[in-house]
Order: sequence, then C-alpha cells, then structure tokens
Amino acid sequence: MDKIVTKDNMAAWLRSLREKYEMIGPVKRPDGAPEFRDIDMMPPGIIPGGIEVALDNAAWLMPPKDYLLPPTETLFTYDEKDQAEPLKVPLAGDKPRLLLGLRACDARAIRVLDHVYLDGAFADPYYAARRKGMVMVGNVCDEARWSCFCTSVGEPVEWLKDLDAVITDIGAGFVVTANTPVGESLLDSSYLSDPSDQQMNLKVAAWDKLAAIPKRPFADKLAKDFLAWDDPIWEKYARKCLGCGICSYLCPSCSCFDIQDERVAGQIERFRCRDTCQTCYFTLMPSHNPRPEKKMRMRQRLSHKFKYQPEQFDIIGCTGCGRCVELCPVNLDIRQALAEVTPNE
Amino acid sequence: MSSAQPATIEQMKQNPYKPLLATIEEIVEETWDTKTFRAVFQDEEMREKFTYKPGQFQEVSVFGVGEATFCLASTPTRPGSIEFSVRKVGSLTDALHEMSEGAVVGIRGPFGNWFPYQEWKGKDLLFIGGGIGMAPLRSLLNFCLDNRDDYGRVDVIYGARSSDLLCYKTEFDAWRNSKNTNLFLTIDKEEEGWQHNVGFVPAYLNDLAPKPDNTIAITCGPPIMIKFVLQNLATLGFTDEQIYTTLEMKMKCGVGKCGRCNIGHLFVCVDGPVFSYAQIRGLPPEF
Amino acid sequence: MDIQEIRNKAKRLLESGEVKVVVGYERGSTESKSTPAFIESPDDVDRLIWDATCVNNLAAYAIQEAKNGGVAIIARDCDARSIVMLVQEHQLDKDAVRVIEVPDETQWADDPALPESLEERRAFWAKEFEKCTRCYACRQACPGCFCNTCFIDRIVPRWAAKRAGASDAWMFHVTRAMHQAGRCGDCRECSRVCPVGIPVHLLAREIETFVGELFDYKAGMDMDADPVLGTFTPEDPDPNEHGG
Ligand SMILES: Cc1cc2nc3c(=O)[nH]c(=O)nc-3n(C[C@H](O)[C@H](O)[C@H](O)COP(=O)(O)OP(=O)(O)OC[C@H]3O[C@@H](n4cnc5c(N)ncnc54)[C@H](O)[C@@H]3O)c2cc1C
Ligand code: SF4
Ligand code: SF4
Ligand code: SF4
Ligand code: SF4
Ligand code: SF4
Ligand code: FES
Repeated sequence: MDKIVTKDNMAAWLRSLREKYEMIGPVKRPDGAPEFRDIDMMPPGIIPGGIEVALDNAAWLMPPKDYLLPPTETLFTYDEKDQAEPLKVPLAGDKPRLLLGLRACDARAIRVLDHVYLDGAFADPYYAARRKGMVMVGNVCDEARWSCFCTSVGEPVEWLKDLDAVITDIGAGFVVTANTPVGESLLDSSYLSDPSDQQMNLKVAAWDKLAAIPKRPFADKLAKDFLAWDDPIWEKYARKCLGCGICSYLCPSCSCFDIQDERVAGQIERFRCRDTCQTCYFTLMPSHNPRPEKKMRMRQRLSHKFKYQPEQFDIIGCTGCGRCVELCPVNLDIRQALAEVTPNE
Repeated sequence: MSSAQPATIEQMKQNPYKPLLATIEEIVEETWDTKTFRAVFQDEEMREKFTYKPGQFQEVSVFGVGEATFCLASTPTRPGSIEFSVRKVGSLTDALHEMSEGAVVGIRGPFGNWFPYQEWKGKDLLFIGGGIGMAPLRSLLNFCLDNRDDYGRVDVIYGARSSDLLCYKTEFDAWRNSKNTNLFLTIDKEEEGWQHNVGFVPAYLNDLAPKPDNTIAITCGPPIMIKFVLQNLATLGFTDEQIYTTLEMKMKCGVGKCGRCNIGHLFVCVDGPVFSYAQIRGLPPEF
Repeated sequence: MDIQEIRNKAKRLLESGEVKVVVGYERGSTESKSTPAFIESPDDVDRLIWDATCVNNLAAYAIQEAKNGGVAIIARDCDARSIVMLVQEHQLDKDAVRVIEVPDETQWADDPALPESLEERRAFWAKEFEKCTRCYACRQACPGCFCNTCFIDRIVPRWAAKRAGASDAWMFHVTRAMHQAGRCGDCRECSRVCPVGIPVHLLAREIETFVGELFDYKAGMDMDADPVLGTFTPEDPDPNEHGG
C-alpha cells in the first residue's frame, strides 16, 4: 500500500505516531550533526516543534542496533539480603517502539541480528522482547556515500521489504509504502492521501536508483568459500590495524558481547556490554590464545561476515553500510581487502 | 532430540542468562590446585529434574565475580546433585576455591552437545585421560558403568605428572571392580611406593596397544597429550571416526550468542564441546 | 613541504640499508583520506604522499615495526615527540628508529572551551563520558599507551567494569590521562579516532600543563632525558603543596 504525505504534513504525521510509540530516529543535533536517538529525549526548544528528523542518509553514524542491543544491558541483579528472591530480571518498557530513518542496509543488519539472537535452541529473551514490539520505518537513500557498497553484498531494494513502512522522498513530498499490517496502520492517518501515478513513478525511479549503485569487483566472488585461510593479505592489512575495534563497535550487524559482574549500590549486577573480536582478550584463556596475532583477528572479522555467517545462516553478515570503511582511523577499507583476497582452494 | 525437553531446558529456554541457584554441599580436594564441588539446587523440584548428558557443560556463577565454564563431571544416572571439578587458574576459579560448604553459586546449563553414547551401545570403550581432562571422561565413564550391560569392555588409561595430581582417587576401586573394566594408571616420573606404570600417557597407550576393532576411543587432557594420543591411536589403527575428544574455547554466554567461541562457522558452546577427530580435521586450525 | 624531498629521504634510508621500512602515508581508498603505508623497497617510495589528509600519528607503529629491524617514520613535531618519548621510556631502541620530519600543517579542529569552575567542568566531562562506548580506540591509537596489558583490561584486580556511560568511563579516562603525564606530545589522535567525538586529548593536555608547571618538563623533547615520572630527586615539588 502506498500513500503520499506532503513535506508540510510530515512533522505532524510523525508527531501523531509518537502518541502511540516511543519513537527513535535520526535527528539533527544543535551543532547540526545528525544523531540516531530517542526523539522524545530531545530537550524541548532545541528541535523546533520537538522533531527535526533528518531523513537524508547522513544520520548513519550510530547504528540502530543501539536500540536492540544497548551498549550496556543489565541481565539481572542479585541481592544477597533478599533470601526469597535474590535474582531479579529487569522488565522491558511496555510502550511499543518505532524506529525511524532506517536505511536498506540497516534493515538488513537487523535481519542478521535476528539470526544471531533468535535462531538456534536458545533465543535471547532481552533482544526478543525489544524486537517483538518494534516497528521499523525506513527510507530510501537519496545518494550513496563514498563508503557504501550495499549492492555488492546483496539487493538493498529487497532488504527494504523487511521494514514495516518505507518513506521515499520524491521532492514535492514523501511516498510512504507499507509492507506489513502494522505499516498499514501507520498510514491510516488524515495527513496522508493516495498518490498519483506520476508520484508513484517517481517512487519507482528512486528505488531503481538505489538498485543501480555500481557493484564492486569483489561482488561476483562472494561464494561461501572465497576467503583463503593462508592469504598474505591478512598480514598486509592487519599491519596497519590499530586493533581499536571501531569497525565492530559501530558495525550495525556486529553482535558480540562480554558479560561482567559489578557491585552497584549494595547489589550485584550482571550486565553485558559490547565486545569485539579485534582485541587479543576476546579469545584469551588461561591455557592459551587461539588468535594471538592481529592478522588472525582480521581474518576472523572478515571470515565471520563473509564466510562463517553465510555457512551458518545463509546470509552475508555485512550489509555494505560503509561505517567501518568511513570510521576506521587508518582507512583500512575492507572493500580493498575483499578485492585482493584469493579464493579458498 | 525429539524426546520431551526436561524441565531445566525449559527454564533455560525462557532465559538462558538467568542462573539456577545452588548450594555447595561438598568440596573434595583432588590435588593442590583442583577441587571437586558437589552442588544441590535450592529448588527442590529442580534437584530431581535437572538432567543432562555426559559431555555437556555449565556456566557457574560466583555472584559479584562472574562466571566460568566447567563440564559436568557427574553422571545423570545419579541425580539429586551435580559435580564439577575446578582447577584454580584465575579470578572466578580462585573465588570458587575460597568458598566453603554451604555457599551459594549460580548454575546455567546444561549447554552444548554430548558424547554420542547411544550410538556406542555394544562397543568397547577406551578412555584416555590426562590431569583435569579426566572430568568430562569421568561423567561418561560413570554413566557407562551405571549402564554396564550396554557396553563391551571398558579400558581406562589415566595419567598425570605425579601421583598427587591424579583426580578422583576415591573412585579408582569402583572403576576397577566393575565388570570387564580395567584401570591403567601412569605418572611421568618414578615415585616411591608407586605400583603402576611410569611414563607419558601416549607412550603407555602404545605399550598397552589396544585393538581398534569395534572400539571407540575418548580422550581429554592437555593439548600436547591429545596431540600425541591422536597420532598413536592412528598408528594403532583407529580411524578418525572412532576417536572423540572435547575442545575448549573462551566462553561467555554458552548459547551461541556472544560470538566468542567459534572455530570457523561452528560454535563450541553449541556445536561442541564434543567432536570426533574426523570433525576436528575439517575445522580451521584455530583452537 | 615538497613530497619529492620526503621520497628522496625515504629512498636513501632504504637503499643504504639503514632502515628496513619507512612508515609514511599513501592515498587512501578515497581522495579525502590517506592511509598508513609501509614502504620496504626503494622502488615503492613514489607511493608516499604528503598533504592535508595525512593526519595519523605514525609513531603508533614504531614499536611494532622496530621489531623487524630499523624503521623510519614520517612525523610532524608532535609525532616526533611521541617517538622521543618511546625511546625515553625504553620502549624503542634509539638506533632502531629514524625520523623523517615534516612540518605540522594539520588543520587542527577548534578545541571546545572548557568551563572555568570545577563544578561546570565536572558536568562537561560527565556529559562527554556519557557518550563513551568504551571501545578504547583512543588508547589503541595513543603512542603513549604502550602497556602490554592496560590497567583497564586487567581482571585481577579489576579497576572498572566495561560499562558504557559516564561512571565507569571516569575511571578509565582519568587514569589514562594520569598515565600520559610526561608522555603526551599533544598529537590529538585520541580525539581524532574517537567515534563519538569526545575531546579526550584535553585531559592529557591538562596533565601536561600541570607537569610543565611543577617540573618544568615537556614530554618527548630529549631522548637522553629520564622520563619525568620515572625519576625522583629530593628537590621534586610536592604536588599536594600546589593544590593538586
Ligand atoms: C567447555 C569447557 C569445559 C571446561 N571444563 C573445565 C573443567 O571441568 N574444569 C576446569 O577447571 N576448567 C574447565 N574449563 C576451563 C575453565 O572454563 C577456565 O579455566 C575458567 O574459565 C577460568 O576462569 P577464571 O575466571 O578463573 O580465569 P580468568 O580470571 O577469567 O582468566 C585467567 C586468565 O585470563 C587471562 N586474562 C587476563 N586479562 C584478561 C582480560 N582482560 N580478558 C580476558 N582474559 C584475560 C589471563 O591469561 C589469565 O591467566 C572448561 C572450559 C571450557 C570451554
Ligand atoms: S577500525 Fe580500523 S584500525 Fe580499528 S580495529 Fe577496525 S580495522 Fe583496525
Ligand atoms: S562490516 Fe562494515 S560495511 Fe559491513 S555492515 Fe559492518 S560496518 Fe557496515
Ligand atoms: S566481526 Fe567480530 S565482533 Fe563482529 S560479529 Fe563477527 S566476531 Fe563479533
Ligand atoms: S591507559 Fe595507562 S595502563 Fe592503559 S595502556 Fe595507557 S598508559 Fe598503559
Ligand atoms: S573516548 Fe571515544 S575512543 Fe575512547 S573509549 Fe570512549 S568512545 Fe572509545
Ligand atoms: S560462549 Fe557465547 S557464543 Fe559460545
């Protein structure tokens, strides 16, 4: 189902959705920089009318995974003094959440996270609780950033279909496309009307433009076994890697975490926090470390995304969002590494 | 895995991160750095319902310190409590060693796969253990001895650097006295009063020269011991499919989520820790 | 500075066998980025570039590269101070490292103004640390953070939990700043790499100012000088008497 909303009505429509949903989306910070955050949390006055949503693809820095997997999350608290029920698991809030401003690659990243956290014998209850009530609204990228390579790892136009609703900027207004019943319920609003054929043509053109982002040369190599174990490129690229982990902390589909205990205000709290395979501590055991060298950790990162996850879940773990490419402080561009790596014999 | 899921699995499935509370009932000092803990669940129903299979592991919490991974060293054929043996190597294992009887711990599990003992019915079993590596073997061994008629001859080769580093000494007689079961002990160096073999486990294995026919070999111990045991088993004619071991990787969640324990696309916490040597040969060499 | 001059110097050092590798900059994967280059053959020196995109402090690679033989590093003034500091701290053999000096033409971003009062400053940092993801990229990029095991990664004793957000981040940042006393050459790599834009370098700079006032010392100026906090003389001032 498609509807059209004028630029003037957009803010009013979003505000109306906020009554039902806790709304998270890309907003412009006071300094002009975009940020992905809880729209309700913005102090009044900073954002005119409470919402200035940045629906261009500039608001890409913080991955939406923050709202499915908070950087730090309490698993339970343990109170030694409470004899009857010392263990308490925090409950998730009950107002349903709406994520706004997701790009095609963000939608794909959530699909990857779904596999990791929901597949298998044990589903992750904390992730599942957040995911269950979450409404996902995205938008079609107007321009690819220099670092983007979504079309080289899949079909972004198909990924958009994982969203409940998709917003396409057609200049004079936005076409909003509902993919699910929840999405249709969002469109049931007096601020929206039926689009004309011409407006629909503009929408299709925008989707076609997304699909037409040129592919990288490595795109054709992405078979499950294309990464060679002993390739010298691991060493070559790892040499400049600082092991800072930015590439996984800010990757929208990286999902690894650590679990720690801490005493807070007389209680013991067990929490999980983000972790990365790019540090030597990740696999360090008292007896030995299976990945003591940077090149092994670099191989793990790329192999996990381009080889192991395809084997495990039949999905490439990288969405081509370009965050790691753009944010790596030494410009270690995985697209160059992928282009150079030789197939596994 | 079509059979009805036991209650523990149901509970763990709701929230695999939430431990079951248990009380330490008994602590046995095995060696200078290893203790065996017997824990009883606080929930009385859970005491009977907690079931697991030999080879599986659990995450043990000391609240305020953290968690660590230990294999279940007891056998499900003796319900009511669980046992695990702990070698003191770091923060959590230190904290456990500090504990006294009556202390409270958390248990998450059972996790991971198990030895395919159902498929081994009617076969001879050869256990080859070194040091603390005897823990997972002990679970399977006691399980098989409790189901003695299901298996043929059972041989156990167990070694340590010295006699005071052998665990489970109080059980040696019970193992020896089981029907058609032999215990072969060995230590690295000569000791006064030692009446058993002297020499490394792999060498003793060669001396004993067990026949591979209809036999499954299960080995666990220090990596260097396993390496030579595997070589010698091959020389003795054992195929890769006849040899089983357990692998160790750093673990946190135990349920395939935290991303820490992968070897290639397999996660040791879910797809392991039990692997046949044939499977191990197919893995990337990173463990 | 003329790039040809840098390339010639690199070439000479490699040809003479004085160093095994020259660490410099080459064009990155897009025009607006450079990336560290490890030049091992005189034939490859033409890959080297020097322009406004060359911002990394390459001293971060000094220890790693010196292990394989002599290393020459292209360095601005602040980067060269890191190298000197590493020699002073016995992390680097003086004879294993050469510096190819380049002028500092970096377009440094404006520093945020720190409030005057202690209260306000505390509030400023609390707000900044709230954003901290605890990725430790600032530490990884910092040449002064050369410890094999950083205090924050130790599990016995554990100094702070690895929790995102302000409270545990204080522990990390304040301790790290303390450890930079007499080591920080103000290269600002920590702030540059921080993915959430925390001006981490201001902490170390504050400490350096303090060290300068107390001991009349500037980090990384003299290879033969002892590190300021690695020595003690009876004349040393007592920080407590200075309101520290
Ligand atoms: C499937 C499986 C079964 C096991 N079964 C048993 C068993 O039955 N009995 C047994 O005793 N053990 C067993 N282990 C091993 C056991 O899990 C470890 O010995 C235990 O986790 C150590 O925990 P710790 O907290 O005492 O050590 P830690 O304190 O966690 O680790 C100590 C070591 O960690 C390293 N380290 C230092 N800093 C860091 C850091 N920042 N991050 C990470 N690491 C760091 C150091 O090398 C140090 O020596 C098993 C392991 C697995 C995977
Ligand atoms: S962001 Fe770059 S430097 Fe940092 S760990 Fe990743 S590849 Fe290495
Ligand atoms: S690996 Fe890089 S490009 Fe791929 S999804 Fe992660 S951050 Fe984006
Ligand atoms: S790349 Fe590394 S940090 Fe990211 S999900 Fe894979 S193993 Fe985890
Ligand atoms: S913060 Fe301190 S302990 Fe950690 S690496 Fe830096 S100097 Fe070393
Ligand atoms: S200050 Fe920035 S770079 Fe340092 S740990 Fe925090 S987020 Fe990472
Ligand atoms: S222990 Fe977390 S994935 Fe295996």
